[in-house]
Amino acid sequence: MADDAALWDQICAGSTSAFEALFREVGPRLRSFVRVYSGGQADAEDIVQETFLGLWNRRDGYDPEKGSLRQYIFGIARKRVAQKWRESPPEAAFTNATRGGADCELRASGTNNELSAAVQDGLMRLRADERGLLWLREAEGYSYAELAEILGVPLGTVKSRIFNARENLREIWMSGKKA
Amino acid sequence: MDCNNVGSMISEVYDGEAVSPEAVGHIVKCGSCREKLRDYAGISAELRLLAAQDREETKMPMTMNGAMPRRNSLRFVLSKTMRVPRFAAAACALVIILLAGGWAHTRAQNTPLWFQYRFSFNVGGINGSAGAVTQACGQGCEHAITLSGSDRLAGLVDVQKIEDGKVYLSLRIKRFGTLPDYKHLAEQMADVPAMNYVYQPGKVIPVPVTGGGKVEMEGVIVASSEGIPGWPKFSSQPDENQIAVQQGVLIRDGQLIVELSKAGTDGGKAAGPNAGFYLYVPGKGLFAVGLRPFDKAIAGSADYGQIRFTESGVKYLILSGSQITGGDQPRTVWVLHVPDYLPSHYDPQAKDKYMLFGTSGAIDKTLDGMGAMKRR
Repeated sequence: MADDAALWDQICAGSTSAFEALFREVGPRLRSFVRVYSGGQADAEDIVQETFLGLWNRRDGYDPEKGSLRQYIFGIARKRVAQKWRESPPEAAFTNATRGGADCELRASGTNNELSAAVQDGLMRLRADERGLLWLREAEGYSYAELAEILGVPLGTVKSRIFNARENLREIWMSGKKA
Repeated sequence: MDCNNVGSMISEVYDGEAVSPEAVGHIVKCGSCREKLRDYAGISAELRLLAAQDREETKMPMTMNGAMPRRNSLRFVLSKTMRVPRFAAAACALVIILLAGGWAHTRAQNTPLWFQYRFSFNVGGINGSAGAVTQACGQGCEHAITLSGSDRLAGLVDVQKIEDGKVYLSLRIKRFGTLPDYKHLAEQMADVPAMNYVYQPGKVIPVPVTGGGKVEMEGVIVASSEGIPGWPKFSSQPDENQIAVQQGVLIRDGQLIVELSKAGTDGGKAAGPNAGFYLYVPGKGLFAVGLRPFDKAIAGSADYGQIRFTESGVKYLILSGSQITGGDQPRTVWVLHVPDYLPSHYDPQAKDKYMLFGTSGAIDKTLDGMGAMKRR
């Protein structure tokens, strides 16, 4: 992807081709993240659409000095998922914010071995904040500082949550290996 | 520092975040922590694969209808080209034998005492060292150690007994024209007379080398195979012209691809005008780190027990149980990666399936001798 500042300049100037390029690049990744973070409870398609629509409509919202464009977009999506939780009935919101929904399944037909299934299942059993952080770290490669920005939490919290997520997932991973 | 103190820092180390040198030191030396690193790497691989396949499987017609202003009623579909992550390559099997300088561990027999020793040598003005920790196992129970792969120095060490504070051992050291297969080293040294010593720990003794020159040996008696961390002058803070790797770990793009402790070596140390170390990993190529710029090397960052560098977008992390080099931290070091390097290209008898690790006081010259610079 082009340099964030240059790309953003083009988008601010109304370039739909630049916006499309951004969408092509980030959209699938964002949707995977939303599916994981929300535990499959939020409609990932809707969240992605709303995120990009919001981005287009508020083109004064992003400051390249404060971080990467992708980081900014993931941050918006994370807030939209949280907003969906707030709008859900209290009981559902609690479930969503803690454990993933049973019907959440990442489309990974190639990873149908038991170990992969155990990791996928384990991921969805983590707390939403833990699985969101771990996903962004492992699948998107964000640094701890970037994660703190996206999730809106202190750096120390990022460290401890990622560690907790790994340890929890490791227990499942170990049992999967033994099986 | 122990596992409880390390806590979340093991996760931070795995992610390449800066943590205290003491924590890194514990993690790479502790079997339990290294096991965690391996598990983290396994989980990471699964998650990344899951992510890649999720994106691939769902490269659906993801339209922007309604998401764009009406004048831009675009309908575009996600590209079908998806990046395949580099980590997809499976981790190479670590069936490894030490072929160069470093620390090796040999299994115990009866006595609870161990002998930790080190050979020091100077070849062409370049200092090097190699050592091991071993127990006495009786006459004729010798183990081989390669002192310097590039200089083709190898030895056989036979610790016969450790008694009354003394070590009874015999040594055979030879300089070869071509370094033989490690497994057949003993056969190739049949013509080398064994020199018997009653060694007083702590002393430095000269050992003649068949084929010319001499090396020096020094050692101490220790209580366990762990030896004395940092012995001698090994993990003490190196100066800015020294480089040391102890129980090293190499992580590439989140994948733990080398543990030196599984390779029969724990690392090595060197000092000199361009001190450095090299590491050949079957299937991954040759990695070399030097303290000064050298041809085709890229800049990396050494921060106490960690070295980070990025090549073609791939992040690498080297961990060491001791501080890697001296001077202000973090400091720039220079890294060369030759992906297609094969030892057999330059030494017909070399085995490409074995890992190589070595240190050198002039890494650029050593690499040149190994043919790595031409290859690159």
